[in-house]
Amino acid sequence: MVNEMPVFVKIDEYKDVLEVIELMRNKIEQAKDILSRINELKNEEDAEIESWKMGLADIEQKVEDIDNSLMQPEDM
Amino acid sequence: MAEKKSFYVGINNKSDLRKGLLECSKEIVGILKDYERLNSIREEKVEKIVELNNIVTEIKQLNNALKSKLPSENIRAKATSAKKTFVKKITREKNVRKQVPAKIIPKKPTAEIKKLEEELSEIEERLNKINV
Repeated sequence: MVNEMPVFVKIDEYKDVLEVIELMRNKIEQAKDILSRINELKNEEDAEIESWKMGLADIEQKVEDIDNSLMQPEDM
Repeated sequence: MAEKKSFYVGINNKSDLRKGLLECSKEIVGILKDYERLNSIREEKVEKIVELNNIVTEIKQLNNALKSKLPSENIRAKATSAKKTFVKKITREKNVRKQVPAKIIPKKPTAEIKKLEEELSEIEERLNKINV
């Protein structure tokens, strides 16, 4: 029953409430921007790690080639 | 004293071998460069996470301020005590406004999580009361 009763807010407080809500809205926008930047950074990080992976695979292949050529000495 | 004899092995495609070694060095330097770039990305990410945490803390403070501006749930049931809590909440809200935007004070994470879990269960309890 108490839940269904109307709620009244003092008019001077009401103004404060609106200000606080506006502030909260601004903060939420800021938080959204930062979160989006974090997501971008995470993608950049993933791309760098992927590039490492490819670089390492290239190095592995080259070391393999060098090893093969060392294992097949020139015929005398 | 035994004489040490040296043996040499001829290498086919010597230019290919040199080329391969140089390319390997190039790749390794590239990876080291990537490492530096990754480090700077991670530093910025950590900065942004700290910034986000500060903003979320500020939003929480604003939410508490908003809560204190609105009448408490039991204001009708206990008129006298409610008045006292209302005054207390207003003073508390003023204190909240004076606070400088939060800097993160490193705490033990488990204690912080426990505190947040308690807070969550309290909010859920209150939500359940409203829904009944």
